[in-house]
Amino acid sequence: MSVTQLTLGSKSVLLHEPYAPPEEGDGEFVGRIDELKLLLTGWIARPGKPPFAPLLIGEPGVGKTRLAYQAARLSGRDLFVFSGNDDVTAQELAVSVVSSGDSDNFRFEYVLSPLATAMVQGGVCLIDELGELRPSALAFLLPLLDGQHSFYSPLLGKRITADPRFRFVATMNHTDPLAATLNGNHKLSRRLRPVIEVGEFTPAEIQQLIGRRFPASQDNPRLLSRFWKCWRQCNEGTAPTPWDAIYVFGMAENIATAERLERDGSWSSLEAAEAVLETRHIEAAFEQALGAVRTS
Amino acid sequence: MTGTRSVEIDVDGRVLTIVPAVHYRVAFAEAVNAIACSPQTRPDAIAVEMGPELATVTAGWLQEIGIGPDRRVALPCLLGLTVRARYLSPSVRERALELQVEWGQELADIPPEVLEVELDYRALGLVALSPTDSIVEAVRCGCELDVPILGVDLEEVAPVPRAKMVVPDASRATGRVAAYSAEVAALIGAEEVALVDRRRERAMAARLKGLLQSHDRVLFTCGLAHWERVAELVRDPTIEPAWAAGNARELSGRYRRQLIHPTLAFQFLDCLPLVAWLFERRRRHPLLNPPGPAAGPVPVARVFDAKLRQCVRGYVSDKGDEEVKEARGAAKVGILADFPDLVRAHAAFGLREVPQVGDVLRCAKAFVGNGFATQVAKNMMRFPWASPRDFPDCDTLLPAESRPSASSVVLLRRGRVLGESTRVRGLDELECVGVADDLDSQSWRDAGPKPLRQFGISHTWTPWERLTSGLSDEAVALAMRTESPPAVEPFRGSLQSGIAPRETLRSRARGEKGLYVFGRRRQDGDSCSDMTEGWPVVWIFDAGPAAGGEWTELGLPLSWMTPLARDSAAFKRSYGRYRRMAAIIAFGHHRPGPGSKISISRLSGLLLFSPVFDDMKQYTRWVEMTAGRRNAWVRGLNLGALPSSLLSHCEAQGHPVGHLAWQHDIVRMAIPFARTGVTVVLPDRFQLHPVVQEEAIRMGKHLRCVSLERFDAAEIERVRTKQGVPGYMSGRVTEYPPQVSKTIGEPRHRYAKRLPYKWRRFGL
Repeated sequence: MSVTQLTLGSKSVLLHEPYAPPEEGDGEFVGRIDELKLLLTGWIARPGKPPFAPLLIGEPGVGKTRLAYQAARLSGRDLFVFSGNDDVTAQELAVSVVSSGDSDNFRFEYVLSPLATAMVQGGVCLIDELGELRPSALAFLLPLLDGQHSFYSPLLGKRITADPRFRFVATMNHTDPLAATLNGNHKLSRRLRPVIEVGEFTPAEIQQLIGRRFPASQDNPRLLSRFWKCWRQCNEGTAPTPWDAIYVFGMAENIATAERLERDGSWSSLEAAEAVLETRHIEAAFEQALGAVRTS
Repeated sequence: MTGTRSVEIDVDGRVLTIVPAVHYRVAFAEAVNAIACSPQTRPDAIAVEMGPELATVTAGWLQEIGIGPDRRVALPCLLGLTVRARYLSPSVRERALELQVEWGQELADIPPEVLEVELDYRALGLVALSPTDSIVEAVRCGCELDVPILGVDLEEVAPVPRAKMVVPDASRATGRVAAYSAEVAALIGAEEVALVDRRRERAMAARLKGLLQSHDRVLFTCGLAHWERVAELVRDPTIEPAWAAGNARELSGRYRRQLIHPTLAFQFLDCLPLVAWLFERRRRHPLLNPPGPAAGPVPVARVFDAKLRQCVRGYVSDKGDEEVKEARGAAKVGILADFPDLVRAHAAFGLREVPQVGDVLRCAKAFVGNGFATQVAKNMMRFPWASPRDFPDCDTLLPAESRPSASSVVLLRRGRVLGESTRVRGLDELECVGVADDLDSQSWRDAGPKPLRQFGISHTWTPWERLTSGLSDEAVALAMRTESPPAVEPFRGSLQSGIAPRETLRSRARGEKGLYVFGRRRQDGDSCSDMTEGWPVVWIFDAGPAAGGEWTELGLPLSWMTPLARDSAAFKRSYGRYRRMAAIIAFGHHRPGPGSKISISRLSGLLLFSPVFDDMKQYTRWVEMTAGRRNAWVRGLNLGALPSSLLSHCEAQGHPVGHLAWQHDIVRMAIPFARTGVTVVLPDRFQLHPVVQEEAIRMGKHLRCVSLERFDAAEIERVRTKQGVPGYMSGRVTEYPPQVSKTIGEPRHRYAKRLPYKWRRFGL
């Protein structure tokens, strides 16, 4: 049973629920084996040697977050996700105060952030989009990443120390200004190691991903063939991200379903409808999603 | 019977020795070598898992290199043979037919990247002749023993899609190949055998049986996936021996010899190139080595550990400015000390006991940084690689520049790109990491076409360029120092630095109506803020007329500079209408030099728009910095003649070139290209024509004169003798034929430091 409340010193605090990422397809992880191995290598702890705090860096949509999910799954720990944005204050990285109860029984409660919850419960904390955090919030992370594995919360008046099972990972986009400083002597660059570059998917990996998400594409290889043909026409020289591919196939499925429902005249059973995906649906999806496409 | 190194099968009283192997791992090559060297097990025929033609081509090349029964020759690294793939996997047959219908084209006309994605097709197959590969070692031993070498596999087979399988690390096979093979065979045995493999194995078994009919002891080496079934089939009495007349005698020429770039080659040399080097040192020639115990196997794990520690030590003790920062950051968290453990942990995730270079480089880049990864790559790749100069007739195989981190390659023939292949059979299963930039692949790309291009364009000789530029820079410095305070001059159309009230009033008092102005004042920072100030520099060596003298323009084609520009497209937009940029205008007499291709000019005058740079990138930066306004530009092809822009400028000023003495013309040509003034070095007592002064004033420029006598006479004499040498551009710098220095009688590095440091490093 997961703990939802904890006593820290004299204060009772609420904990964040762990995040259970949805399984993809048949659950098998596609590609990114080298990156995954690096990440897990960084998490190995030995006596006197605390684990590292890996940073996944890459273009949007290449699967950084998914990679972190997979690493957390393999490590057998609960995952706690903190989404970085510039509204987050340093305190909010540790603990926040929420009001609860009704007007008669009004009270304030402390809620540990996903980061602090992961620390006390020995889970994995993923800070997504680390580059979006404001400098003061980043500075707050320094002692945590410095090997001390603890930080002081003025709100609780207590130092929160990480369980030895605690692991940390962050993601960052290439375009974030912070990314440019990582190869220099920036205070964070010393602490966020290993820096794992997550590159583009290969066409074979994209194909594998589509196959898992949309089994119809495995039964009818023409669908994939048409996808690549349309993609080349629309995006000469660039590779699709998994999201591009999934979006096009998802849209194609919707178009096929809508066609069938229109033909059958029963729009009520939208959820149950199943339609056969054809190459023209892929073309139509490209037209709607990515602009006109020539189909010769 | 099974030994520690091999599996032996008795076939009707003949012995077939099988060495099952993991490709490119030294333990298996050592086993083959030990069998060939031992008088008890020495084979009288060699069979390998290659097609007959491939085996013939391989053995032929090794013999050409000098490998034979009477010689001990190291195998250069890394040679390879490529072949165009023609077969598709049977599993994609239906899809291939559909694809042709969809595209309305034959398979051959469908873009290769489509075939790659749709049909898992690889256009190019590569066989690396790695010394650490057991099959190559077997062929090598066959050449050294001078026994028949037979390729028993099918020549061309369709690729078989195989599921990736994790097997025990091949380093465990050291000294116990047979036991290791048995372990792995148990794992592989559960896998379904593909149709293609069945055919191959039957063919191999039949051919081996045929070979055993005429030879008592045959050594056969093949991959771990096949050996057990081949052994079974050889024992099977229903398999008839195939007639093995020897390898193909008439070669189809399908296999092309390649020299593989280190960036790709390291993957074929066990876990580390150093292992291949150690194997080569320890390796015994089957006939030339005295009988006795062989040197022990290469301790791969220990070698790798030692190399890894050496990399870390080397990095800590030897680091540049940028790397200091990086090392400080990494050392702070103890990464460098832990680095070998991290690499081992990373390799352990792939069940590898000994990491690969790829593991190390990935960890180095991620945990420490690019500087460390580069240094580790250089250290780990230190190896006596063969270069294109050693094998001028071979094509070269390089990583593609566009995707250095993927297994895509570029095929070059004598410097010309033959094609780019995104996937190569033989490279797919191997690590390929982006170390291309660190391993001088540029020199490989440049190798080849030099002899054909070297007599294309005449280049000035480097020592002359350096001395001329150095003296010109001195002249600029002298002119700036000796520049007198602004003189008061009568007004001639330009107010220059303003009206001189005192002189003007005096003039009025004298009843004249003249207006006087201050000459141009030297602006603050003229000399220090803009290093181009003072240029162009004009040298006038002769005060008298030079009968028969000719004008020459020396320039740089735009095509040399455009690729080096910070923004090539913008550069092309700005200057694309020109063919050349003029760098030097010379006036003098020309005569043939000591070598028929070297011309010598005796100069009377010289105009340098800028220092003469060694590197084309410096010229490009000069143009970018000066916005192209400090040089004359040439549109046409009239090589050597004066640029039409200069001729028309002089004409527009009322005195076409030739109306005045050449000394005046050369200064007039420089005036439009000065920032504030032209530096003119001229003999004492030589006076420039008033027209020149007037032109300068009209254009708001200043003439700063320096006496020629202030310079060393010997150096001036050297500058007056200009050599034109047939050279060619090699990348960004000029290369000359090797004998030029001897012909001219002057080493190329002479006057290397005559040009001040600021210009030597300018723009780099």
